[in-house]
Amino acid sequence: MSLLLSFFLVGCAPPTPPDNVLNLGTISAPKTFNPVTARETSSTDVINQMFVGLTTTDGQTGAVEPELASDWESKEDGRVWIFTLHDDLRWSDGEPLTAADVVFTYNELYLNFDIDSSARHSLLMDGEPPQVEKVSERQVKFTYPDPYVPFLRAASNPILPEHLFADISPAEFNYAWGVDTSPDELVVNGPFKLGRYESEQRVVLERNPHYYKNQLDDEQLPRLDKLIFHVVANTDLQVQRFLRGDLDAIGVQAQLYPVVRAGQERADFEMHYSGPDLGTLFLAFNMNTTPHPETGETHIPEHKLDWFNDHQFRRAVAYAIDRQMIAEVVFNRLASPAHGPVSPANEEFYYPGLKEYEHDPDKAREILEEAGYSDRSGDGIIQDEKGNPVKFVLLTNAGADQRVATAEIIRQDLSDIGMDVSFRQVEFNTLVSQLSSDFDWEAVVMGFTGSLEPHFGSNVWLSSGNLHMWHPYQEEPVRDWEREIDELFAQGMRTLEPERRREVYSRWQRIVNRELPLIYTVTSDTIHAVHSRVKNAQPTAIGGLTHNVEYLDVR
Amino acid sequence: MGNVILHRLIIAVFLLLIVTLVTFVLIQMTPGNYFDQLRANPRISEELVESLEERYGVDDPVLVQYGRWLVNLASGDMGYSFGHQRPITGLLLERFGNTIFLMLASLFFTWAFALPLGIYAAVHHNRILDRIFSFFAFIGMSIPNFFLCFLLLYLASHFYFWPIGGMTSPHYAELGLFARLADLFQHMAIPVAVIATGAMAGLQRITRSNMLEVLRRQYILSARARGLPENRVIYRHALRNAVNPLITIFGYQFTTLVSGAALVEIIAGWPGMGQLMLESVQSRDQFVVVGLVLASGVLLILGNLVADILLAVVDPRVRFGARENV
Repeated sequence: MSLLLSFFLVGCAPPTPPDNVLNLGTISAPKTFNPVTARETSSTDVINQMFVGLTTTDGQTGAVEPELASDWESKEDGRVWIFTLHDDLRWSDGEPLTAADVVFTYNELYLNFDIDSSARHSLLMDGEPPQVEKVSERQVKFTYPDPYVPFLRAASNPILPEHLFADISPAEFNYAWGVDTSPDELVVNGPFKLGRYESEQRVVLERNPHYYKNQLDDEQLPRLDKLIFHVVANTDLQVQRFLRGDLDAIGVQAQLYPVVRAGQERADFEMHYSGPDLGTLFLAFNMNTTPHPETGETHIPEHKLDWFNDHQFRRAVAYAIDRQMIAEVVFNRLASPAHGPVSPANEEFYYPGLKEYEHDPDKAREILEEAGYSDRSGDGIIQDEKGNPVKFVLLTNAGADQRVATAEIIRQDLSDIGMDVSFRQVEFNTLVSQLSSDFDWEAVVMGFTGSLEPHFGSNVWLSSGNLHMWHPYQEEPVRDWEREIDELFAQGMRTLEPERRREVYSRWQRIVNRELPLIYTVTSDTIHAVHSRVKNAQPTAIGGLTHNVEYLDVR
Repeated sequence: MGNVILHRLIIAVFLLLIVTLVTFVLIQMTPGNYFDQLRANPRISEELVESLEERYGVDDPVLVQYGRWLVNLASGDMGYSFGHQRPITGLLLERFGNTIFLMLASLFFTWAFALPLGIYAAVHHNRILDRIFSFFAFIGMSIPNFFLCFLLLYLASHFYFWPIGGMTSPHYAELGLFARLADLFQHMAIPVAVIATGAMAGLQRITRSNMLEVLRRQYILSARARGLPENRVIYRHALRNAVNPLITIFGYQFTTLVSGAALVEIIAGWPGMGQLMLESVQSRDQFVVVGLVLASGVLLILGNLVADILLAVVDPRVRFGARENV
């Protein structure tokens, strides 16, 4: 009996966690520990704590910083890049990490077309791979056919150990390092190594004693003994588990902000406000005039294409949208109006002088009237000059609460200026296939997670791009401003001088702001809630909580 | 009886073939495939998406894909999960185990409470306790599972007295065997309570009414008239006849619990089949969906088969193969 009793006491006693462990939540479990084949954030969030690359991004400023490479230089206007590694780098199994590992990682993994690497795209310059050579034990040289400046940021891709994968076939590598890999086989170079993975529940990472910063600094880094990612599959539950102390920190979504805020009465934590995040939320219209290759007809009725291709029509819509309302209702005021493709979080490239489309329904009606759209039949719906009522379907993906609520407000705003908009939610995959292969949509509310390097958005902005949503896969740019953007992107990736480069991408932002192929709504703020026991937490919009993970301390 | 079981199993194979084929066709009919979502990521190239689509043949005609799946299945390979980037067999076994574990615990509690309560209510028909049981049974039947689950999770999180969500505590791996079990039971308590409440209420009502019906029969009257002790009348004569329909229910319950558990699993963050099903249907992770349908189908058929066999064992009036003998 006493045995039974003690067993329950052990079970129910409040757990005393070992010192210096940081507990974080993740919405879904990692799918793989392979840095090359990982495709989504639930995997890369964990992988990035275990693997580092030649360069990294400063979490505060967004600038490119040295990582495994202590230094680099570019020659011939950014055509040749030479990286010098730190002295005496080691893998977590004690083997030396040399230029050979870097050459192997790029030539045999990222740039190998038989391997499913999502990073390859950003390494290719107009489809051309760089030539990667070892200069010395500590030096690697990358040579492109033409200057390719975005490479510096692409060089942050994790480096993998050659001594484990030298003889592996591409087909095998695509399945290597899955989540069932034993911790000993996962040889890493970052601050943490795999302790264990409890399937679908948590990933326990432990300090990597061979982490290079350990030797650079006097103190032992990372300071944490363990970093644990707990799988908590929904955001409400994450908040609850944070409030009761199971998790040390969470990113707070705008709609859950009041709940977290109210929790401050009973739990000891701080809210960190880091300003706008990198993501975008926008409205797009289908402007795709390319006829279907078989039927020879356009994918949606031609009169609708005429509206959507009408610059004045899009301008009127831009004025009709009440961005302030979206920020207040959808984001609990934790968002600010946006008018261009680059978020203010991106200090290097954000162009502050864009035209702001203030909410002005009267002006919107005026523009429409002048462009020939008016309510001739008196039924409250405007018609174009041929008498077609302006009526279309607005889509967004089901389950994305913020997009759904934003789309609902936009629908209301547009009906205020006489458009008959019906709103429909579809599943994400269905939506994407409509956007990228069926082209039979009319209007959509979507968002992209941004990136600091504008060039990495070229899938969206080049007229030939597959994500050039309003009119993808163009053989030749149909519109003059599209041609201009194509040229700017071609120029931007070849421009090394930062000031000139910024000017190139400012011109792009001005064109988008004027032509409105995507009509931007708001940028949401980044908020983290961090328990007071976590020391040195300086979460940012760019780097999140873990950008300085090696200096975090839990006491 | 062996013949009959064999016969049933052969039918089951055909049934499973049809069910999986229909699932395949339905997935193919919905627009888009798993890899489409990669297309929405500006940093992933079209070329990579196309090479993945080609490797897994997701654009091939549905019958070709189905045939390929069957051939692989015959060699024990259930396919590959695009979303989880691993073979499905291991994934399913893991999730299947978690769900079965939750279900068996729920079934145990359901029957352990519902049966005695039902019998008691029938024997003490229309007395105060019967009324109270009925009252609670109606409440249990009418509260939706998902709502009860939210309610319990809310209470647990508000009063900080119970773990919420997941299967184990963060320090689980460092615990001893008994502490591990205790930790697991703590985490199971809420989902089990929720699932068991709903099922228990219904089962209690059915037990009660079956029992009442039997108690009104002539042979019970005659048993009592012969002066048999009341216990013997109830447990030997009445109960044995009253449980027959319940055994059929057991077979069905086995499977309805799987679907009922799905919702609770999703809410309580229990990593079982329900969660996996939702996630893979949403993302069109087609082989996982088919694998799960196959697994639930097998469960349904086995559940019913077991119930039929049990019925034959308990009730001498039911005999397999009677039709063949005629």
